[in-house]
Amino acid sequence: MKKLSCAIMLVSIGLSPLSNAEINFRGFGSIVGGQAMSVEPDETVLGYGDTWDFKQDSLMAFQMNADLEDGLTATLQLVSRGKNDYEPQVRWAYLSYQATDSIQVSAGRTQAPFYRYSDFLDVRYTYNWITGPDRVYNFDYPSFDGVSILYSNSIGAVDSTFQFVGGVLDSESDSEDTAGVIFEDFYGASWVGTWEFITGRLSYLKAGVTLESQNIASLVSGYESLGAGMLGVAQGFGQFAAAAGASAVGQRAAGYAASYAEVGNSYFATNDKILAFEDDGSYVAVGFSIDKGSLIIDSEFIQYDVEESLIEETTAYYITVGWRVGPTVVYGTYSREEADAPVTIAIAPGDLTSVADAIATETALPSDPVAAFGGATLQQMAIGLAQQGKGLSDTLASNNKDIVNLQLGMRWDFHPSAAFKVSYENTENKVSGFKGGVLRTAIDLVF
Amino acid sequence: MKNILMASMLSLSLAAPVFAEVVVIVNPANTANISDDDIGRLFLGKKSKFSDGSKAIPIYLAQGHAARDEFNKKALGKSSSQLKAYWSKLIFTGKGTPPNALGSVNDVIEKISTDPSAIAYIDAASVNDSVKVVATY
Repeated sequence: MKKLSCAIMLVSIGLSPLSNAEINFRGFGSIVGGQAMSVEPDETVLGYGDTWDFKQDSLMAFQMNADLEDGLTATLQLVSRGKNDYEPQVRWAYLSYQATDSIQVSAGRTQAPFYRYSDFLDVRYTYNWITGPDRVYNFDYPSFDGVSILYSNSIGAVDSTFQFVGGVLDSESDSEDTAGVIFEDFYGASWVGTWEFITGRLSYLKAGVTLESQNIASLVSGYESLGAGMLGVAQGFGQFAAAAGASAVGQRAAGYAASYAEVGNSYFATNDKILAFEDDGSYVAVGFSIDKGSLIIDSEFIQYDVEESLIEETTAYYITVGWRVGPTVVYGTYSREEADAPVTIAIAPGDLTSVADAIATETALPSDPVAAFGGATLQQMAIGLAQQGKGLSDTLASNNKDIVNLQLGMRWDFHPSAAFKVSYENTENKVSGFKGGVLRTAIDLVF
Repeated sequence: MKNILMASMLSLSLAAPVFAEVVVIVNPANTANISDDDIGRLFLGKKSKFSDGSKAIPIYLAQGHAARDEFNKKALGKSSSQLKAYWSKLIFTGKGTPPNALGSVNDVIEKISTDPSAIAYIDAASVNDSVKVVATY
C-alpha cells in the first residue's frame, strides 16, 4: 500500500498542483488454476473443463484514489479478468463525500449490495473461499450506476451500517459475459450489524428487469409460429365445417376450429409473459456470520423473482463452517440452489393432445396437401402442431433446478500480503442428474 | 538426569516469548477518558473522535515491529493477515482508509509528543516522559 503524493510529483516536474489532492495507488489480484474432475470432454464445472485452466477465475485490479480533503474523494477501480482476456473493466468510478461522521454519500459507478460479499467479491484476499459459494454467487451482477448513501451508527455494542441505493444496472455497459440484463428504476437498502463476534445482514432490492436473451427471443418466435399455425388450422377446420354444413363431421370440425383458435390465440397472449421487459423484479437476502477464536461460521440465504417473465423464482443458500489454526483456515461449504420453472407460462397456452387424438380418428377430412402448411394436409398439420406445443411445454416445465455443491478447502497466509488457497468442489444437479467436481488452487494478494 | 531435564525445560519455558507489554500512548495534554473499547474502535476506523469530542488520529507502527503484531492480537483481536483483510474490505469499497503507519518507535513518540490528537502504541520499554500511557496490553 504505497503512497505517491501527487503534490510532490507535480512540483517536481515544475507544475503547481490544482489542489492539495493526495493520490493513492493500490491494487489486488488472484491467480487461479483449476481443472474439472470426472466429467465428459465437453462438460464443464464452474467454467472449468477437463484440462488445466489458469484464466477462468484469475484477475488483477488497480485502484486510484484521490483525497481532495474536507471529506471529498474520487476513486477509480479497474479490474482485468482472465476470462475476458484481461481486458480492463471499470468496476468502480465514483465521487464520495463524507457529509458527517456517520453519513457518506457516493455517486457514480459502484457495486449494489446484493450479496454480503458483493462489494469486495473481487478482493478475494478478504475471504477464505477461492470464489464466493457458486450456488448463491453464480450471477455476476453488473456494476451499478447511481447514488449510494451509507449511514453508520453504534447503538450500545452493536455497530450498524445502512446503505441506500438508487440508479440503474446495465450489463451492456459492463462486461460481455453477463449479456443483456438491465435493471431500471433500481432501488433498495441493506443493513449490516456487528455485535462482538456476530455479524448479521439483510438486504432488499427492487427493479424493473429487462432481459435480452437469445433463448427468450427464439422462444417468442417459436410461440408466434405455433400460434399462427394453430390459427391457420382453425381457419381450415372452419372452412371445412362451413362446407360440410350440419353433418356430424362438420359439427366436430367446428369444435376443432374453436379449440385451435383458442389455444393459438393464447400462444400470442402468453408471449408477453415470456419476455422480460421492464417486469417487476425483487431480491431479498439474509445472512449471518460468527467469527470467534478458531471457529468461523458463515451463511447467506437469497431469493429472487421477476414477475410475468420466464425467469424462475430462485432460492439459494450456503453455510460454511471453518476452523482457524494460526495462519491456516480449513473449511467446508454446503450450497444449494432451487428454482421452480414458471409452469403457469409453459402450460397456459393449453394442451391440444386430446383434440389431436380425436382428429387422428377422422376419415372424412380433406386429404389434399395445403401449401400454407408446407404441403401437409389439414389433419397432419393439426396433429403436428399439437405435438410441438406439448413438447415445448414439457421442456419449459422441466427447467426446474435443484443443484447442490459441496466444497472442502483451505487457506494459508504464507506471506504478509498474500494467501495460498486450495479447494475441491463437487456439484450435483438433482433434476438433470449432472455431477462433476473441480479442483482449484489460488494465490490472492493485496498491494 | 531427571533434574537436569526438568531444569532445562524450566529454562526453556522461561526463555519462551516473555514479550514486553504494549502500551497505548497519547499526548500528555490529552485528558479524554479512553477505554479499551474506544481503543479498539479508534484503531479500526469505527470512531474518529475521543470521548471528549476532540478529533483522534490513530497511528500504526509499520509492519515488522513485534509490538504491532502484539497490539493487533491483544487489543484488536486480529492477526496481521486478518487486519489486512479487514482494511482491504474498506479500502476497495471506499468505506475507509487505514491509519498512517510510522517506521520507527522514535517517530511515533515524536509524533505523539507534538500532536494532542494523535494516539499510538509502542512497546512498554520505550515509553518516556513526553507521552502519556492510557492502556497496557
